[in-house]
Amino acid sequence: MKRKYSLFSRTAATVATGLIIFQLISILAIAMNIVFPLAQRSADDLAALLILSSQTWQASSEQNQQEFALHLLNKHGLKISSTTHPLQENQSNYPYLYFLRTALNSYLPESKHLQLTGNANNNFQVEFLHRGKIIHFDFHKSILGPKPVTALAWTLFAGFLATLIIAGLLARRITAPISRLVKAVRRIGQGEQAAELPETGGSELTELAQAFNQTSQQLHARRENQTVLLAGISHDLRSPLARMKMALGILAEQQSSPMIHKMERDIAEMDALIGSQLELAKAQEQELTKATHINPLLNDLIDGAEAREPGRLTLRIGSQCTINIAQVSLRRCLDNLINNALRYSGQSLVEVTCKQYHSTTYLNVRDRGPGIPEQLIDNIFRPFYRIESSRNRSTGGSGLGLAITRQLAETHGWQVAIKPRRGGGVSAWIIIKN
Amino acid sequence: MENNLSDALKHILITDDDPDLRELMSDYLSNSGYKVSSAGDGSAMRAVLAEQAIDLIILDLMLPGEDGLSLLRWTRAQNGPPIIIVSARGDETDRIVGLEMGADDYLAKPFSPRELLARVGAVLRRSQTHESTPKSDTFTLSFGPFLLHLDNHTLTSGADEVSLTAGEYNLLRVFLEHPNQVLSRDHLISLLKGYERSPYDRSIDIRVTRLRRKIEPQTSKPIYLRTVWGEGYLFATGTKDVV
Repeated sequence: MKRKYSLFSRTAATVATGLIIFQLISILAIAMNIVFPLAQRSADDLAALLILSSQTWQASSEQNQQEFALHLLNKHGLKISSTTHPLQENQSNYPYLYFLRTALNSYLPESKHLQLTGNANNNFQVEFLHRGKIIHFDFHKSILGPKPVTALAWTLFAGFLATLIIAGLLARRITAPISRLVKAVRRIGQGEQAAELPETGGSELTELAQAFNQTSQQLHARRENQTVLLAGISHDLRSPLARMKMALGILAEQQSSPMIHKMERDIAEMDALIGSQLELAKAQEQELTKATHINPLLNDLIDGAEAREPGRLTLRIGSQCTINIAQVSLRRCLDNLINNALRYSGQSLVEVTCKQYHSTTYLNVRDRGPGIPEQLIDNIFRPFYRIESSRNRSTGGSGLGLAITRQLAETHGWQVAIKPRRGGGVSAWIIIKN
Repeated sequence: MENNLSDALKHILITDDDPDLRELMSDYLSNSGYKVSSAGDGSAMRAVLAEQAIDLIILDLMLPGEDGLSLLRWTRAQNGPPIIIVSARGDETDRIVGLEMGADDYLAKPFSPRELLARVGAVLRRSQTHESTPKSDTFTLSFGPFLLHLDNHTLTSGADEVSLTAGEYNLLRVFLEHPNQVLSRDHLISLLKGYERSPYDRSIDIRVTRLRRKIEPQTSKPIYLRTVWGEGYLFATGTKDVV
């Protein structure tokens, strides 16, 4: 699979690449047209000064020499002396020395004793043979005046810094509205009404936000209509059903027939179906959350289920905890999972556990029944989906239990997962981030 | 089946917007010995109440015009007759809301005529013996080695006392008053209505388990308080002749 890069990193990379190429070219242009000629000129000037100084120095008397040397040191930062021991040239890669050597060579075409060194402290030494004497100069880098290389380095650094900041800001400006949109779309998917997106930014983004806000309002209205419609249908279906049950009951008192019992069961089944459908519609409504001790809630739930199937449930609670939770919805969710486990796992024991890591609560219901084939797991949350009848111990259930569970979880932002259990059976999870 | 012929005919008012269902209920209740009037909406109901003495109202919640809950509130404010709500909206919250607003019973549609009759009978009986002491002559009820004392609400087994909460006591008493018959949750709720304000489905299941822990020798294989799958509970007293 091809790796997906975020829009943010792509935008940032594009902007940064463009700016960096621009910088490199301008740096090159500045170096070629300003820095090198400037260095050359400066080296030329210094070379001329050195030659001139050595001539003056040699032509002066000994007393004048000292005076001149002092003057040179004070005025130009140059220390002049003559020596008999030629300087050992070291491998210095200071670029200025290259220009200085070229300049000096042009003034001293015959000299074979031209030696230049520089050390880490930016002290330079220059020696050359002039009129039979080796003249030695010491000077510090600071006398060179303008520092084009330093300037260039600073420019480069500032350029890179600006590039990073601009690229980051620009990319964020483009992607931030999109991230907001993604979040809003998610909320809609979870059945909430998404908060209105701010209709600001570039014209394209404003348009997108407007379109989104409109669509979200329409969706919300439609969903409300659907809930109202479902409630209406159920009420309308229950009226004829109520008449049928009433009439059938009266009939049963006048004559007995096995058909009557069958019809009563059919009516009960239809009624249960309508009830589940209503519950599914209701599961889309957000319930208020309340700080709740999870232990008594689970104890009640287990005791309630235990009444139906005594001796088949165990409860383990890992930690005492209070969570902010929609109580009724959580009880419905867990009740559905527990009922499923009791119904489909033969006579096996059903374990319910509750653990908390950091601020996340993990509720688990697991059994040792026949389990669910892995390829069918994706389907079981679909309304009215049933795994082959062999799993059905009794026909009970509307086929909407897990659909309701998932709807409730989605509405309240919990995660529900059902997985095959190692060693056989099913393990169902509700994960609640507090 | 109820036999009300000994008393003066009780007068029941049915308020439901479905004419066919109204007719079915009205026929059935008349045949069972009640006098029945019916109304299709709130204003018709008020008209009947203004003219006749009514002993019980059967009230649908979804009505054209003024809805059932507001009629319920109005009747309560008038100190009117007891009310049984019949509604297509029957989940726990709806029931609790109805009962807490002052209904005497709540019946979810669809219901069977026998259940309607039983509830009507129970509510009428309660409103009649209202404030009188419990009707049982004996002050203890027994099962297995246990004795339930109705005077001081305690349960004893030999010399030991088994501590019960008020809710558990009420449920056990209801079971002991209807031994060896299957009781659905709905039926249990209506029976408990005689003792508490608003029992609801889940609380019954929870109480059953907690009672089992106190009275069953082995909770996983209950011998007294048995589950009848898909129908409800049955209390087997085993030795019921020992009173």
